[in-house]
Amino acid sequence: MTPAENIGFVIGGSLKEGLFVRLTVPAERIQEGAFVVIESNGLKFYGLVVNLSLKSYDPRYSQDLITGRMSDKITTLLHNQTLFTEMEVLPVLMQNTGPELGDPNYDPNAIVDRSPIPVKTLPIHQAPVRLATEFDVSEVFKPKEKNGFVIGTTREQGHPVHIDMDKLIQRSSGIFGATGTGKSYLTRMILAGLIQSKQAAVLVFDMHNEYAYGDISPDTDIKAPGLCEKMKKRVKSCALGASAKIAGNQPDFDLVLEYSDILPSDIEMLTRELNLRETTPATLSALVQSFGLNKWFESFKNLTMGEGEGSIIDWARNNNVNEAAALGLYNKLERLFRLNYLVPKLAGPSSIVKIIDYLKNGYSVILSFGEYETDLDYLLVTNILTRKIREEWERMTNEYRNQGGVKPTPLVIALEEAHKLLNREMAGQTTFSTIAREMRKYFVTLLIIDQRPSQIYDEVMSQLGTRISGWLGDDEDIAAVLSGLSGRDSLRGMLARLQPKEEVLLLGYGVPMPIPIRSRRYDAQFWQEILSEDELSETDRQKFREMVFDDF
Amino acid sequence: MPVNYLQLQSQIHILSDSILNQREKGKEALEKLTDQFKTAASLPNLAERVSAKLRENRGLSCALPRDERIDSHISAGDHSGEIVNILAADGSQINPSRHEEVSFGLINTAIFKMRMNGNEAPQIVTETKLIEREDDSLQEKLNNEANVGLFRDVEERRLLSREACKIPQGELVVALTDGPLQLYYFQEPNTTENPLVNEYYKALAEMSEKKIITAGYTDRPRSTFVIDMLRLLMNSDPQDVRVKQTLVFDSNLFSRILLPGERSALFKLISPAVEQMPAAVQISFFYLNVGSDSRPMITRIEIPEWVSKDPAAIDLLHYSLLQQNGFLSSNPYPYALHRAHECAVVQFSEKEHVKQLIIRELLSRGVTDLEKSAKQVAKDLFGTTYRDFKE
Amino acid sequence: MTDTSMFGRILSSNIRECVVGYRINESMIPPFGSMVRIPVSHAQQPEIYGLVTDIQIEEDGFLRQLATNDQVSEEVMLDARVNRNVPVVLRILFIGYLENGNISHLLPPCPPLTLDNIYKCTNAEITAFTSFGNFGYIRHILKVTNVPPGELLAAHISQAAKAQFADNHFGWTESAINEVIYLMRDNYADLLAILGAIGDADISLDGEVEEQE
Repeated sequence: MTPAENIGFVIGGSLKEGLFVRLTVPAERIQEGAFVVIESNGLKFYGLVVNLSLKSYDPRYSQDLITGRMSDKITTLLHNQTLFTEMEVLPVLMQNTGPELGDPNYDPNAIVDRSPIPVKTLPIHQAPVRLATEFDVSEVFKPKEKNGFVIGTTREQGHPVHIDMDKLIQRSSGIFGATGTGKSYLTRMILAGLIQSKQAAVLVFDMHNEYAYGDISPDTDIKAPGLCEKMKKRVKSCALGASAKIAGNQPDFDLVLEYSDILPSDIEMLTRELNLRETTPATLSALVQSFGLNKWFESFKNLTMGEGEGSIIDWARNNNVNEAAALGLYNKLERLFRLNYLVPKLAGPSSIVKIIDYLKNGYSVILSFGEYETDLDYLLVTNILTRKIREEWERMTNEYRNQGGVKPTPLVIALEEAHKLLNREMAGQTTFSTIAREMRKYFVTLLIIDQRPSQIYDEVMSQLGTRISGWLGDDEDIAAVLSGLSGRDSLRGMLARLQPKEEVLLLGYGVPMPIPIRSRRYDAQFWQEILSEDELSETDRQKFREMVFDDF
Repeated sequence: MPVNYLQLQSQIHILSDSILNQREKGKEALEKLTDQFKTAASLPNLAERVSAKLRENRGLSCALPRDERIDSHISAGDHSGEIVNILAADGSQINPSRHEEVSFGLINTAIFKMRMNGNEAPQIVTETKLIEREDDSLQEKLNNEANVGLFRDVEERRLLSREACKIPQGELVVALTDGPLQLYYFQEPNTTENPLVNEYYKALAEMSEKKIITAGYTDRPRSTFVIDMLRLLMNSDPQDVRVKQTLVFDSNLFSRILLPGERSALFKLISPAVEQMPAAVQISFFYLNVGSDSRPMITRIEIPEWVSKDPAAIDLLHYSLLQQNGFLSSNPYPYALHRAHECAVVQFSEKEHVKQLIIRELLSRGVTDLEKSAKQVAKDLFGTTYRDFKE
Repeated sequence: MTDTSMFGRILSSNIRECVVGYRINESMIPPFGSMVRIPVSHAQQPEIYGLVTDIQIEEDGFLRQLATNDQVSEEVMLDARVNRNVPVVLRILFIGYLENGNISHLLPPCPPLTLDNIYKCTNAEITAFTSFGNFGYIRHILKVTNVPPGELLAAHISQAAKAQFADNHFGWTESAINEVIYLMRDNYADLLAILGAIGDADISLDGEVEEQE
């Protein structure tokens, strides 16, 4: 390994403000967000460039234009010493490297804990600063286990950056970015990595039918393949509605819900969508009372208009329910009564159970909404399904904890247009906020995919572990992505100045430190690489790892 | 107080009285001599008369008229544009001092050469000689300042002759020295037996052979050769003539006769010393007014025999001297002679350096008992806090 | 006159500088800023290095006389230009010394004695002295008071650069200018004046004096 070139030296700073570094190379070689390393007395500090400012030894050196007054060579020499760039570095991690070989304190038998930890001290004055090498990047980002996934490369030198899939699924995560920033391709790659890693089963609520069989990229006009096409063995496609097709493809199975699946709370959640009245909860409560929890929806649907027995008015009168309220609710629920994927009773086994079974067994399922693209469909189906899943995973976990049963398969629920379900209004009513907050314990986490993170309830946002964000134009969206993270001020500018395509900022739990990266391209090469990992046996992998580390 | 000024006051008064008195007497004498000079000038066969008088009074020094009327005042011809080589010689000396750590004599001689109308930068030749104590022939003679001075005169003449003779035959050469042509420092009898004196004459003889115009230039002369001639002619008692008079000099007389730029008639110099010199270097002289209307300035120019016989040579010499003086008109003196002097002068610091070089050499050969005299140490103490290198 | 020949003697001296006097003609005067050495003349005395910081032509009545004259021939003018030895006083700023073969950029431990000889430095001496250490001697130059430091520095760098270039030390000039900037950057006005002077000296950073167009 050739020693990396120093780009500057530390001239001051604090844990609070970050480090100030005087650049000794031209400013244009360094970008905001660059990953830098500072070595100082057996410690290695890893940090991010968060600001660059032009400074001069005396303001007059920068204010007076002396070009032409003396030779270019002398002017250059003068400027080299009097004009310089000051770089602000946010130190994030530090690593104990122990004494150098040749240091009197060097002990070859000493065991040094080399894992990077959050910064707790500072390097010394004038410690040299350099750009991170491939070794540094892998030291920080490559997980020790096999669960790393190369999500992209550092912007300056193209060193691969790993994301720890284990950590990504341990807590709920988010992928953000304004429309057109390549969010869905990034999601596809992460999902592919996740599925390939076999760390978790994934349930994708594919509102726009993008994930299963792919689509034509609006930018390149090239067809981008879907996960079902590439990973048939592990991914099952499911379409909403009987005999539905997904972009002309036959799904592995379809999803049809039974009336008994619908609970009053599912209806209450649709208050805004259906424009329900304040009287609705009372009416629903009376319905459950009259017909039971499993029958209320079907029974209510079977009530008739007009008066007399079997009519809504009659039922209202008998049950002390406001007639107008009952009539109003009935009218509002007409939209549900007409839905094709809602049936009184299925002939075969429940498709919800089928989905849950697949997920339990480690398969991933992509649920495409097909032609049912309204918010109503999305809200209703995701909520019902998630509620069922939640019940099942809670049950399995309790069994596992209390009776020593099988550990439930970790599950990640990928949620498109998450703000529809997790906005301030809805968050209290859907299962998703509960999952985001609590289901970590039950091996279920969310992967939120959204373009308007500011619309998502901040309590949910702050629970997100790993955040992967592309360019965001809106200040509120930026603030939302950074909520609950340290160093927000420094990261804000970085996020605002990402290249609109291909560049993303990694933040939070899944990465040891924030870093802007150039994301991997979702192309044939990606698939070739990701699928070839399958062919490497574990022993090969071990050999490879040893080989790499011997080199260092 | 080192000087008793109170005591001096009355003496200064007396001295001034005396000077004024002398001047008054001098004026009177000059009037009388001027009349006598005019009378003498009109005497027929003046030269013969003077010669006769001299034969009667052997051992006297005086001027002997030559062909020109003695009251002549002659302007120089125009030689502008002619290429003329002007050479000037001068020397300086360090006299041995027994107060120093080492006693040594040193002669530094410079020749200044300029080629008038040649549009060339002048050339300078210098030669430096340490006088060796061990030199048998000189040891005896060089034990005093006068002998170092003689050595210097000889060196000047020898170098001047050598450099003048290098100039291609046919080119005009005027070679000048400062002071009289006759040897000033050496006026003892039997001079021809002195090898140094012989060398001096030899050098003159060389120039004579090559017909080089040479002259000795005496600034502000205090000579009385012409006045002595008048006194010899006019005085009944020749014994009076042997008494040196100091009231009036020839220059006073000629400042009344010569207009600026004019020279006097040519005289032959008769003196016991000159009589001992070889025939070729018998000396003649004329006076020359290099001053201005308001401030006449008389100089005496001595020339050897061969020049005195050549009127054209005298005229070129006359012209060249006026031209040379013209370069320094506010304080007339031949430019070439001035420059030769500048080049020849040995500075105090240079003398000290030479001494240090000798001391170092001696030290390196194991001599350790070199000491200044107590007197010199005392002098140095008071004189060396700041040594200016200016003269 | 070769580089090494003696050109004068010390008239007075102190720890920082000395005054040298001599009668020499114009072509022999060591130029302003050139490096000189005062060699050992006593066992306990180190060889001192210095720079010519001032050259003063002393009052000369003779020249004045010539100047006021109506008629001056071509020969007299040529004489004055080519031959005449004028009294010259040089001021030498000490910048270091050589003792037992070791160069030091400190001021000499004792001043030279009056009437010691002074010599022009050879290229080899200039190269050895200016390459030693890390330009410590430049601080003495920057503190000179009798002439503008920039002028002296420009003259010195110009001479030393040629010596260094002759010895194939190509980066010397750039390093020297860098050191000057480092030492002077707190003083904007003076630094610009110094760099201006160095610029006017047309010193190529490769060590050569640049061709004038």
